Amino acid sequence: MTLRPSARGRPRAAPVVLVGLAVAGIGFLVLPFAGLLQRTPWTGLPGLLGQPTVARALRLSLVTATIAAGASLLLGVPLAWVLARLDFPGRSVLRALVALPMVLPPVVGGAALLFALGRRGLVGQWLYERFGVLLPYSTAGVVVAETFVALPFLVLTVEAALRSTDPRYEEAAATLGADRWTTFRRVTLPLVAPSVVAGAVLAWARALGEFGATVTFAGNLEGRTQTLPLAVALALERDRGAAIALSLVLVVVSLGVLVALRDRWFTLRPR
Amino acid sequence: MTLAADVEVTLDRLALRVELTARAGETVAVLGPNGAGKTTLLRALAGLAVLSGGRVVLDDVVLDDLTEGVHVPTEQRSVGFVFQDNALFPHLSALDNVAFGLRLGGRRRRDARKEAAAWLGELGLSAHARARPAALSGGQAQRVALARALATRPRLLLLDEPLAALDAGIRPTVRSALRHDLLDFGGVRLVVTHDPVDAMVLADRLVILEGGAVAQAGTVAEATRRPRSPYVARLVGLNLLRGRSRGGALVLASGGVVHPADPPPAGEGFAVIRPQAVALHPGPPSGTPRNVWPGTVADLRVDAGRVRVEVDGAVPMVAEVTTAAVAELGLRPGAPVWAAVKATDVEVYPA
Repeated sequence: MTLRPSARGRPRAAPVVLVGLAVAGIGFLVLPFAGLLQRTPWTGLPGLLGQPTVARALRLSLVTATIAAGASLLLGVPLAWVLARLDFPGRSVLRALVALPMVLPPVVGGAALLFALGRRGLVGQWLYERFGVLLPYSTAGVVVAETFVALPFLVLTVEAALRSTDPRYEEAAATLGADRWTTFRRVTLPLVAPSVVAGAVLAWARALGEFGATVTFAGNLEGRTQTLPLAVALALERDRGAAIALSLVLVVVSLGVLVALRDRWFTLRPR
Repeated sequence: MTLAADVEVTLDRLALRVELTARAGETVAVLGPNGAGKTTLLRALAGLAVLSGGRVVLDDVVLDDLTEGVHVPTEQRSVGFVFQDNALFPHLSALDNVAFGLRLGGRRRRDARKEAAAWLGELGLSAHARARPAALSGGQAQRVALARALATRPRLLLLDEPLAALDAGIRPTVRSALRHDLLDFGGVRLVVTHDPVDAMVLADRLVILEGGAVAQAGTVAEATRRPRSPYVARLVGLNLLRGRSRGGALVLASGGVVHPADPPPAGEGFAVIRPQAVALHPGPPSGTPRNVWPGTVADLRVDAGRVRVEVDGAVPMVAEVTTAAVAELGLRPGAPVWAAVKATDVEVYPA
């Protein structure tokens, strides 16, 4: 490894402090996975992964995380546009509210969801009495919990991209006869598309790993609300080998998605 | 087809108040220093900047009228806008940039593309139809932006510093091409620029903005002959003095006196003197020039083999002399000098 900041100009040694701390940082991030791999019961792995519990949890995780990412897109892109483009009183308060689920402990989020959407909840009671819909302890509840924690990631990513696009593109569209809706569809959205993808991936990854809000709001029911992280938590108490196997699945799936989308990952350059 | 605009815009650092009329087939150049409000005026006409007062009428259609609460949104104005740095959509090819407005005008995709291709062909850009804006040169991008604006057949064409982003080397070529293309467009044309050459090549009339207000409006010939503000005088390279008529002479605020051949009109008036008509002397000149003003050399600038000498004094003056004269007279900043101008070289007109 040659320690050069760039290929251009005179090669300069990178500061030892920066490189040293960076290596420590990488080590810190990678070490737990080494521990995981070291304890993996490789020979028993096929049997562990073949259990129907694992397959069900994986399927449930993938399906709910994907729906949650889709719901985040549907609600988050318009929300980001409103935050970035409209001027109204209380906008900074609104932005703080959007970011709240990111800093809130997910368990608190789950409890809040329960009070709002539970059978006795603010909206939940109405949902139940009017439509017979009961979100807690259902697969739909998993999606709700995951969307609650994932949505802010998409909104903030897309809003930042919208703020950094040159407003003259939208003005040019207006002079060519485009109203705001057409401008959004044909100019704004294509311009921020890489960030929308990045935001959706972030939201998906966050939803896939969601634990606290899900377990609080939707419980840990196998085949219905038991996603992979929940299955891991349960297995840790009963069967270490199974917990490790389930964790490996999560690592592989997450890594696979990140690698597949690495070119899009946070690149904002226009293509 | 005409544009009649009375535009008032109040921004943080600018209070713009401009009255402007323009006929179809006429190019009006809006010229002025940075921060004069040129771009704001164009944006107001396009509906992109909010008026704080006034009225804009294009072809008998009221686009803005604050007292009556009328404001036609940009997309319904039929206004073509060529932005500084072009603002071509980076995600679309040159062809689709031009087709954008055509599709919104109700054409099918195929028809819009066909017409866009015709526009690009007319501007000599057929070879670049599929190129993304990032792959175009500055001159090509400028012409695509023009094609995009023209393709919607607007009634008013607004160009904001269309040549500012170009390299000096290709500016003359693009400028004359632009002049040619503008002549083909039958509507009202407004070009914002800070370059007097652009204005002189492209425009039939000038509107000169300073500090948010019209400093001078008229033909290019008028502005070059009779500037009405120091900024315009500097642009056209003339000495401009303002004073009050008294006893056949013009008395400046500084107390300096300028003698023209003909008595100036009563009241406030301007005097212009060409720098080439100013003679410099190391001491009080002999002979009979009517105007002799003592001063000190403030600055010297060499331009194409001639030297422009800025003289400070009761009557500040720029003289254009030869490099030989500079050496002979020992002119350097701070040196005392006498400027002499014949009365017949002073032109006066009312302020």
